[in-house]
Amino acid sequence: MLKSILIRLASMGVTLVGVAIVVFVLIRVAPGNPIAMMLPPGATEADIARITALYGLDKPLFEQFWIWAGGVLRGDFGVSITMRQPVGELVLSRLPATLELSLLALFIALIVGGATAILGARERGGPLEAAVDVFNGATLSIPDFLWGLLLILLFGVLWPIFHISGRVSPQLDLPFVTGFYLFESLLRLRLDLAADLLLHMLMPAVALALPLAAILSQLLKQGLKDTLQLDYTVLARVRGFTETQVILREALRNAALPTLTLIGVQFTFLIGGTVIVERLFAYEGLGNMAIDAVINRDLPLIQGIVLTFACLFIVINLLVDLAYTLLNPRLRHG
Amino acid sequence: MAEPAPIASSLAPAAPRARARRLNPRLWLSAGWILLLVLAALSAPWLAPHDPLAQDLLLERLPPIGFDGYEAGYWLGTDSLGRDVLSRLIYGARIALVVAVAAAFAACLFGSVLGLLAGFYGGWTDRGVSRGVDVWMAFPPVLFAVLLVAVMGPGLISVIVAIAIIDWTRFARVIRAETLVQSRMDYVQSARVGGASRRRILASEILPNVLPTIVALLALEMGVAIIVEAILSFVNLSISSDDPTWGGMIAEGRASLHFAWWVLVFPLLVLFLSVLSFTQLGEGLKDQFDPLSR
Repeated sequence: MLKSILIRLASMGVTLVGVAIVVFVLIRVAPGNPIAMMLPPGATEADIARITALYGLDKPLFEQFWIWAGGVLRGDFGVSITMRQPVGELVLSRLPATLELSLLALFIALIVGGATAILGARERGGPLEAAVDVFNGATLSIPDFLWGLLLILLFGVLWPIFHISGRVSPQLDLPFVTGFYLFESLLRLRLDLAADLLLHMLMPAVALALPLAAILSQLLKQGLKDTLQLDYTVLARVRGFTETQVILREALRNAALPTLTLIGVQFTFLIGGTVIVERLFAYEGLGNMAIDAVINRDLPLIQGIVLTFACLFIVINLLVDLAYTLLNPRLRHG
Repeated sequence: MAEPAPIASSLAPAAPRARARRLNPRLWLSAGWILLLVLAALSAPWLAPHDPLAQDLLLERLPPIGFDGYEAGYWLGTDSLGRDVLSRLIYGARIALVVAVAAAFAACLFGSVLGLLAGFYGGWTDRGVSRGVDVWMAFPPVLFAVLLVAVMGPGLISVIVAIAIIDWTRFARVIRAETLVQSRMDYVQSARVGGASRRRILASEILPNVLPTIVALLALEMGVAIIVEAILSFVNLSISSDDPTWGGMIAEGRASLHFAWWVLVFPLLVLFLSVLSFTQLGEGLKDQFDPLSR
């Protein structure tokens, strides 16, 4: 098992280097000098050359990459061109907002997907299962961007009960020391703040959660239905358990394991979706900052953010693999 | 997004397809909507009641038919610059369809070829392609798309190329797996024993059997391409911002949401139906081809 983990770690490293090279080359073959864009119109050629040299953009591509990669290994991601702050600080200031949103969305997806799967499996063959199937089919066809727009229309305009832009109401006093506003407000029992945060976060989180909920529900329901035909669940029924008890106590654990890998992959898709959903809801997260960085051609910031997302994806995949190995008795003893 | 499962894996190559299949209603409905879009796009100059770019500040934010303040001829109302929503939707269909078809075919060609090669030849080819897929999967796709268009400069070609560069992995992954399964089947082995060259086996034995999967994926990819184009126009990085795109209309609608709901609702509805149609078409084709779900 240790060997397989080491192989995976090495493979992760190769993927990360690949990502770094692709991004690095990609944004440097772009036409247009980002430095010329950030200087006032009256800037002379000499000014442009001086600032270009300051950011190291006059060196050969290969050398630039080594300087940047060396910095990254020391934890130095460079300085944002437009915001004049270290990229590492900027990324860390926005990352908690995106993580919180993604985790809230994952939570919603697990609850909705799990509940509909259990309902569908309990009512298998009946109209309720058909309803769950229709819900899943419709939800799967629609991507998070469209769900977000639909939610904005429904709960922002027609029946305005949720906030549809921003992360928190601007007039509120925020006593937070970390960037994890929602977790911190819950820990400090500041329920007023938590409520305001949730009113902002719920709509983008639901938009992100729905596609994952549907795909999870589909797979888990099938798994439950297969498990419910096995002898040991029949035995549980004979022992007098109700159908719901059989599902929750006996079938769920076995049926849930295969969905774990799926949840891992889909969770990385969900995090990828935050980029546009944050934009849609004007939520101050990493994805929203990334789009601004691209529009402003802020090369160091783009590199830092893409690398952060890539790390996040790779770490999630690794954690899921580890969890799968630990939870699956066949692999654990293998 | 849903992972399309390999569909032809259980399909025996010589399986008789004599039994007539009843076409699914969702296939008809989806095909019908797509046909409508194609017709609207082709006849846009005759169909559109107004010039999609004509601004008229006297006519700004007119509501659609049936609401107070409706102006005859502006069926779906006007946006905040007084441009006719219906005409912009019709012209927007042109861009959406061109992007959908061109980008999906480009991604399909690139990804399917790599998938076939990786699945069939294995070894270093397979390792190279699979590693490429891994690296690509570590990018958030929307950010990657925005980045690519920013690099290439806004424009129709950039959008198409960007989508193809991002989404070839969808084809490569599935087709690789499918090819791997097909390569191990008896009919391939017997062709090999019969002395057929590897290239011949790939082209005339394996390709026809993975083709149904490719077609289904192609329909799904068209839906994805329409969404990506809309997202790119939404962040104002698609083609020039003057051209009527559904995503650009949605961005305007999002901005003027509280004064004029119709500027958002109609393009959203059209986008919704189009994506749904392409997805249902792809899923429906998948089922049509799959002997198990018939």
